[in-house]
Amino acid sequence: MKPAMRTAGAKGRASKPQARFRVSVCLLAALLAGACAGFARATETVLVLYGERSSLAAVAIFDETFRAALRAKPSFNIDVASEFLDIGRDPGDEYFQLAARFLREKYRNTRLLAVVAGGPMAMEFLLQRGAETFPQATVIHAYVDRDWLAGRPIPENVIGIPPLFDVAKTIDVALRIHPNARRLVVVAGGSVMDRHLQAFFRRDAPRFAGRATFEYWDDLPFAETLRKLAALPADSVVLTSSVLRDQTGKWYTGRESIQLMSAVSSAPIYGIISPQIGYGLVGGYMPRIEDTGRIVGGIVLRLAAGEKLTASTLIETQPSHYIFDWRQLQRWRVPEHRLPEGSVVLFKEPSLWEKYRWQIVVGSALALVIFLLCVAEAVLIARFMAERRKRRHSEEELRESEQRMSLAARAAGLGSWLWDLRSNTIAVSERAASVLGVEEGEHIGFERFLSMVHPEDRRSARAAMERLRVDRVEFDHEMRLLRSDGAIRWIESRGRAEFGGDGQPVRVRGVAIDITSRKEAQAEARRHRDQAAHLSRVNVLGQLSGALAHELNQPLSAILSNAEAAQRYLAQGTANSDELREILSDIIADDQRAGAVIDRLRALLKRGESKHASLSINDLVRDIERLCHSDLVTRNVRLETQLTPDLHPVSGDRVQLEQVLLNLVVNACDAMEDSDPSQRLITIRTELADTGNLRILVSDRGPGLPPGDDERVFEPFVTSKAKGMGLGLSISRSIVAAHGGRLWAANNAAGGATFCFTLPVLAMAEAA
Amino acid sequence: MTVPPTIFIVDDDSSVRRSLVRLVQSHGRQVREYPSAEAFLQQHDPGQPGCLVLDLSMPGLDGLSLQRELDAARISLPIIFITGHGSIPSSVQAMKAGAIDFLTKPVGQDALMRAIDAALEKDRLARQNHAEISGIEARLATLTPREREVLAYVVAGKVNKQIAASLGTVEKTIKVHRSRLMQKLGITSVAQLVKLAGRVGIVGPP
Repeated sequence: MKPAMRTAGAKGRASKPQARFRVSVCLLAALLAGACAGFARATETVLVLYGERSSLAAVAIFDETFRAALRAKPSFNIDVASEFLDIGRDPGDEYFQLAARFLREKYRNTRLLAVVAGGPMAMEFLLQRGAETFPQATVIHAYVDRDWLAGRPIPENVIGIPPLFDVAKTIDVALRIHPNARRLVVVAGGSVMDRHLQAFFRRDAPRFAGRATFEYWDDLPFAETLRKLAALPADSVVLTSSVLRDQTGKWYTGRESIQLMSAVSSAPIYGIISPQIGYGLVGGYMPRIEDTGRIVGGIVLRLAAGEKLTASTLIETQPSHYIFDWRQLQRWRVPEHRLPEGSVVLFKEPSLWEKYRWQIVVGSALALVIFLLCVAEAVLIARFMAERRKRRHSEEELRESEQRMSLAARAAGLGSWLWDLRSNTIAVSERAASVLGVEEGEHIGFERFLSMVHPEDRRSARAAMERLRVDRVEFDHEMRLLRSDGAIRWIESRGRAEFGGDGQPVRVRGVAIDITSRKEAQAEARRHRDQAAHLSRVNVLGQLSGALAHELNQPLSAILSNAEAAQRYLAQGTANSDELREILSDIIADDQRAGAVIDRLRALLKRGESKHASLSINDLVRDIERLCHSDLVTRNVRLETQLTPDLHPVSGDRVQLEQVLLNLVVNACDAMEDSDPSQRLITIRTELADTGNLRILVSDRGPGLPPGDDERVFEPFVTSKAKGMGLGLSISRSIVAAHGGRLWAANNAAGGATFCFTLPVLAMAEAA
Repeated sequence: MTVPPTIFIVDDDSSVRRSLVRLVQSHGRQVREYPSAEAFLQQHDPGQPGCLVLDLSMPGLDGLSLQRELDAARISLPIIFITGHGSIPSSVQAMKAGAIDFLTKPVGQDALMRAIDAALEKDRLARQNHAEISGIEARLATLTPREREVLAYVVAGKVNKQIAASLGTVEKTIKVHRSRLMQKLGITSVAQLVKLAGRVGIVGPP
């Protein structure tokens, strides 16, 4: 299709008039092409020459934003070709020559609108070999900073809007965020790029002479850099553009080295390269590659539109931004108000609790709105009743009632209904009818209405409505409707009885609102919590996997030995039936034991909605004791339990509560990793806290929590463990809270920490 | 060897322990079982020949610690370790400390019985060696101090004349000592004497 269009557009109109018929066909084709493409053009190619490998994040970001910018003018028909020189590793002049020859041959017959130099290394190549490789092509530099260009003679055909690494701003913001920092450590590698970027820090350091001392870790073996980072004192801040090549000659990607450094560093790390945000940098002042992509895209479009651009016509600089990683701000406990105005904060996610809280707020707000609307409507209805006492047909009353309803009520999706107790039929307004899936004004028999209610909610709905009739109370009930098309809608319905002269109720008037989306949002929040809980459970079990394998191995081992013994007795003819019977019953018992381990595991690994049941907390503790047995033995930890007998049952999800206990026990073990084996003791105590609550205490004899940090351990992603996610305690807390309890921690007077949680006893939970 | 060897099985898991006892018994071996390392240490009679089948991870004193305790008490009972999840460091440690084998649960009977046979053979040889040395030492204890001196010179290859000169006496006296000590030790040749002395580490005069 494209070549045909090109012929029609570019040559069709210029061709000599021949047969009239042919001319009109050509015109028609030209018109069609014009209609399709706006203005038909020949395809032009932009070649993006990257100095790096294609796998780098910066490459992917640039490519995506650059192409998106070009899509703004689809009619320009610009094709993007990419080449990756991989010359960050300084391969030498011979390679440059070969690459130049290869590119020249490959693109000999391509119409190049421009060649983009992706990064300083590609720019270097084009400055040296551009003239012979792509004669007369316009070169656009991308993400080649102003300082790099300043040191080199730039021909007029090389254009672009360069970024500027104003590292003084990064240093300044780091010092403002960490006012106590006195020691700035600049970490750099040994490649050309490493040295180029590191020089900025050296250049701007003198401006901070009074505020902090600078230290330069240039070109160390990376392992040593990591060791030193781990040992940095608290008043340090790390500044780096990442390490691309270390002293031993090993290459890293920027993200990779930042990730490794951040994992071990005891000081926050600030940087200047935007794709490294999200991999461990707290933040910094930096040009964004996304901007570079858009800017270069814009320049290409200007060239395509025929504009003449030269090095002296383009003099702007790419803007930089303050960019931060919210998770790192949390990690280093940086309050957001310390960030400069206009900062971009990435990866900010509300915690599960924040999400859930929002649901509750929205839920209560809706309930309030409904309540106010009900009051408003009650007033309206009362007035209306006075005016229209003589009216016979309830549907008419309804229609007018609904007409009188405020716009707000309509906007809230309120429908109204009228239950005539004498005929035991219900009339519904238009909106209510659409929810129910019936005709407006249709009289629905009470039993028929109940048949529309979801079978599981039918009994409670009937009870609520009957009670209204008898007790004369207001009616407020949530129920599910099962529509004929199978869809389930949640509705909340409120009503009030009206009484005749004899004091008997004659009708009930009410409103209903579809709360399906609220219910779904609540269910979604619950699902999120369940999923997070599941993930965290899998994580904990992963840590126990060795011990669990042992738990399975024990019965399997016993089964094998028993079976082999029996075989031998039979082979020797010395088998006596008592002995064999004993062996077989042992085998069965061991098989059941293995099965129980697997069942417990399966229950804990299962992903699913939480299910509440009546549970004995002491049984839970004993279950966890069994589950952890092998792990405790291997880790040389004793577990003592002090279980108050005959405690009331609690209502809860067995798996999730076991998860909380498991988490606390595993944490306690971890805390005592470095303690003397004779001191490794965990105590689990259960007791009645007050009339309505049970308390479960898990104590260890580890080093305890750092002073003032007894709340911090519950924050998500806060962890002291190398392999932990830092979610265990925050999820445990949300599980306990969902059960109506509380989880907190405190240090013991005699050393170690105690994690304590409460759960309401079953009778109280039901009453609530 | 008149006393039959006993296999001592130490495992805190009662069902695993019972199954191992049965399996070893089905091979016609005499077995004693203990639920913990501590129980074994309390009841163990070092005079009883046999070997130890020991669970590596137990609450309280674990397998490796028991191995160290036995070593400190100079009880050279051969040990076969069994474990639910053998880690390389612990198996290396156990083998370095002289364990016969390191078996991973579930343990097949062939591997277990092979290890037990090897362990019992090692124990038998050790005890035999020990008994021989005890016998020699008992006989050596019957020698007079002078006879012991003469013995040392004979072992060192000195003739009676040289011995007499060294001890400041006459050759005839040495001859008497010599024949009496040969008699007491129940041997008839110098070659036998040298071999016997070598077993208990006597190589020459001090």
